[in-house]
Amino acid sequence: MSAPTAEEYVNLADLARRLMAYRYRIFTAATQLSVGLCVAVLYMLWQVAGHAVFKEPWITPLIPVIFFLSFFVPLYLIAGFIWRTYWRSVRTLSAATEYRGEGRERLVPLVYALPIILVYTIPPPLPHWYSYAWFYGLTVSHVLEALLFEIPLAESSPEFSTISHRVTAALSIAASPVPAMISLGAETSFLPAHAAVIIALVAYLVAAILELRRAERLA
Amino acid sequence: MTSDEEISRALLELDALLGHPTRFAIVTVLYALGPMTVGDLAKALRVSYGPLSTHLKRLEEAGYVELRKVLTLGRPRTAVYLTEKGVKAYLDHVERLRAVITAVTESERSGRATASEP
Repeated sequence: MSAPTAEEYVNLADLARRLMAYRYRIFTAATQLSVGLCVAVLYMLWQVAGHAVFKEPWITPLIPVIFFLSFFVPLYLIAGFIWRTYWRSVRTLSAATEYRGEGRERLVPLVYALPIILVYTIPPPLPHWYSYAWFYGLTVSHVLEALLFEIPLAESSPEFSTISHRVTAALSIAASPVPAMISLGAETSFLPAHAAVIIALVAYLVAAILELRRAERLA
Repeated sequence: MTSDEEISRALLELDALLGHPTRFAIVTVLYALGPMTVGDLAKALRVSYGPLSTHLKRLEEAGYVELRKVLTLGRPRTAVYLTEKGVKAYLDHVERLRAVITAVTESERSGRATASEP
């Protein structure tokens, strides 16, 4: 067998780069789906637990602390575990792309924590606010994630670009009046809360499917 | 600079360590698929343990890969991780190979054009 030619080396390297970009998009789609599932499961648990303990699931004075601890702490732990698992296998991404985050990656936990904390610390601007405020917090988080990380990476290394946060943010913003409007006429917190969960799940699902399509096109 | 000089310079700039087909393949697989155990790497590349260990040792000495003991369900295994330095060296090497190909292609084209002149 003859030694490989320079063209064959380069072709192999190009294939490897495409494969890595494919994996990155698949991971992004899987993360969106996983986070969506976590949101749904935790929400259901919270509803059931709230009913069992308080009879009314959204008890106002306890909401911010209990909600944050029982909903977002597990969610952040799960998301962190997913990210850590993936990052171990493709920690070469920053070295393989032109993207230089300049330490912005360290802001990710803040991007997902601060908006949520903010919406639960302001005085409720709408009825049943605590039952769906997380949705607005998450929407802000996705906008920040898109602006700080997704768009810069897409501009510097187009083959590693993802769109999931932009899609999630855009869909969430477009549907953001729905929970607020429902809450104005709702007697209980169920309807606006359910509407927020449905919108979030649809946004995650659409973003994940679009990302999978983009990955398939790359392959 | 003539194209022959360009080719010579590009060839000199190639990473000697990654010039070996097996070492290039090792880094390519780690780059594309992420960290692997030595056993999986041997299977993927169809290389026996002896030569693979020698190549891995050289790559490790250059700082291109890291070998770490990892716990698995069966027994501890050695996993091979590509370092950031390894990724950069790999991408630089590929770009230089691309430059060599371009320079050679240009050289052949200009050679053909000269030969076809009356």
